[in-house]
Amino acid sequence: MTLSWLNRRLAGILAGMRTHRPLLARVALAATTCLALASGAETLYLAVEMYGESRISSPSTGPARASEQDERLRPLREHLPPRGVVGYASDGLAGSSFTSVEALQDYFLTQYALAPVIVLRTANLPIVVGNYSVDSAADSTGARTYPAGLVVLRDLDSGVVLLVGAER
Amino acid sequence: MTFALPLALVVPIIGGCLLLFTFWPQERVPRADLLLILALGVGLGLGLSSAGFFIGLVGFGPSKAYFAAEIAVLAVLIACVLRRIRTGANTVTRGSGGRATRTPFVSWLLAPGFAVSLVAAVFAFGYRSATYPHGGWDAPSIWNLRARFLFRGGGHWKDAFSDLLGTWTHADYPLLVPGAIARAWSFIGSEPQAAPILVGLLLSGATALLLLGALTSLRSRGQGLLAGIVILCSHTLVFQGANQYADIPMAFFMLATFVALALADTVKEGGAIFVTLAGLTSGLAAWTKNEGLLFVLALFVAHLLMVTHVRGWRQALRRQAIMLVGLAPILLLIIAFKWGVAPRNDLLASLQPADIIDRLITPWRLWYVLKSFGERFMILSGWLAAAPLVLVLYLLAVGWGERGVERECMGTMLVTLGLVLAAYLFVYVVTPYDLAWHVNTSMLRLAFHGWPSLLFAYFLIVKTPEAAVAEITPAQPVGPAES
Repeated sequence: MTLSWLNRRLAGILAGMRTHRPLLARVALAATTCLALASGAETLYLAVEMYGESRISSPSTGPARASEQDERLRPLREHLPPRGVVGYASDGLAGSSFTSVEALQDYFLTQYALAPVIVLRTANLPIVVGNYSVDSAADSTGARTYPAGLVVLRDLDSGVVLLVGAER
Repeated sequence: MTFALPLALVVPIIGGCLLLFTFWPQERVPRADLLLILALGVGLGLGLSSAGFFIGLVGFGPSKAYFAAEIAVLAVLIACVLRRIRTGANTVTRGSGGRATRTPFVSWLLAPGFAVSLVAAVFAFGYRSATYPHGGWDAPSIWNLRARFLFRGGGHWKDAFSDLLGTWTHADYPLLVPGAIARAWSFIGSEPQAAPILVGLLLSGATALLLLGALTSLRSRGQGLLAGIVILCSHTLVFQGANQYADIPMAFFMLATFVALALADTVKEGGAIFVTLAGLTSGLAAWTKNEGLLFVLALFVAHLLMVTHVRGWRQALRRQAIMLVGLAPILLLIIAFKWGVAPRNDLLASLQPADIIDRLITPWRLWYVLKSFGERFMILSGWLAAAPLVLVLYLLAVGWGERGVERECMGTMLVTLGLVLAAYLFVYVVTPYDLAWHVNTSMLRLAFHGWPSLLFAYFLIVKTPEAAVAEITPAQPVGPAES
């Protein structure tokens, strides 16, 4: 009983949908197109706004930092072997844990910049790359502390250093 | 470098188009399907050249000889196309076709709308890429990182899959996107960041073009333009494309598979070519992302069910075998990659049966996943969070087409998308990661995988603008294949 009623109602709706209603169709077509175009304009506005913000201030977090980190770390590649494994040191790395999301992102971006060399998050390797905060006070005073047993082989400015084991 | 990079990407695209042109059934005039062939050619060319580049790396190492082989294949394809043109195979006309030519004013009205949406999408893509030239997070940590390993690693390219790299690099992910980027870099001998940006732009554009071309060929120009406007105005298409992720390519190959199956139903002879093409594009989806393997499985199950239902099991098995012919080469490549090169998948490795059952019987997890998916589905296109609702209202207002849709193709599409969605939701429910984090970092992208295909199914059903706004009924396209 209920099923046959439902079936009849559905058939009625479907028959109604097949009825030709040009005016309603024109309004629907215009409205759908306008809404879509409004969305396209919104997308463009968002993209332009994000671009404008990125020009005003250097991003402290997020994927926009990839360019900045890539530029900073590029000179380091010349001093690394063409392949192999190196360690990682940073003021955002305590033991094997990162102290902030930004510090973790810096580690990912260091691996991205230095590929195909594999960067492990440990300082217990003969060669260690250091990626320290650019604006840390230690940078200007030269009082930055590095993991025990490591000495600076190359200081490439902006907090980027190449460290090696002291016995080397 | 100025011309080298475009050349590096244009060569495989031309190859893809020529391959399609060579095998395009006579019953469908290639010249009438040019947009469709171009869109499919972009994906096919980039996908197959990525696979070829990887095979070249495995077989011969980082050698320029691969590009000589690529040029040789291109020369053979040019010869095949010239031969086909000379023999006059393309002079057969399709007859009335699927166009409603009596009310071109709808196309006239929609064409500027399409042009505006195209310009807005290209500019938005450009601004997004200028803001994030290295893409979203997953680009430097997964896709572009892998491309750098493949290009910079030389003979040691296998370091890209080292166990020493953390699970965050997802070294088991397939290589279509990194392979396409590394191939372009190897072609020109340097690594401009424009390569991944252009690969993203090409595959995002090809997705919109494929929807436009397929619906123009199968329904009407107005329908194609309207669908093109809708997809180009989806901010997910633009932003995820500019993010240089593999999700837009994945969505492209899913759509390409369904388009090929729909085309197979429009020809009496030559349908096997399109079914083979569907197998090939589904394989390329699996070469793009691990989710593509789920898609292949769902596709074969859905296709078997639908063809058995409509034509009987003998025809179903025959069609499965034809589709497998297209799938097999890429599937073998993926098996070889997973078996011999890639590390174990971190998600699967950390799943324990007891944990899966425990998470499955926790109701709030399912509720949270369903709610989150619903929210993301509604905002896929932007549209003031209402695209699906607007499209439902549009269907109610204009009704559906006078002619029925191909039951077999439509059924395959909807069942496949349903199975893929169910699999995605299952994975979210049982994920070993923090559920909120997993949902927030990936669900929007995954929800988009099926969106172009869903739009394709929708615009196959809904009445064409030409038929809806005027007192005419569109001419019937070539009927379904009997074989």
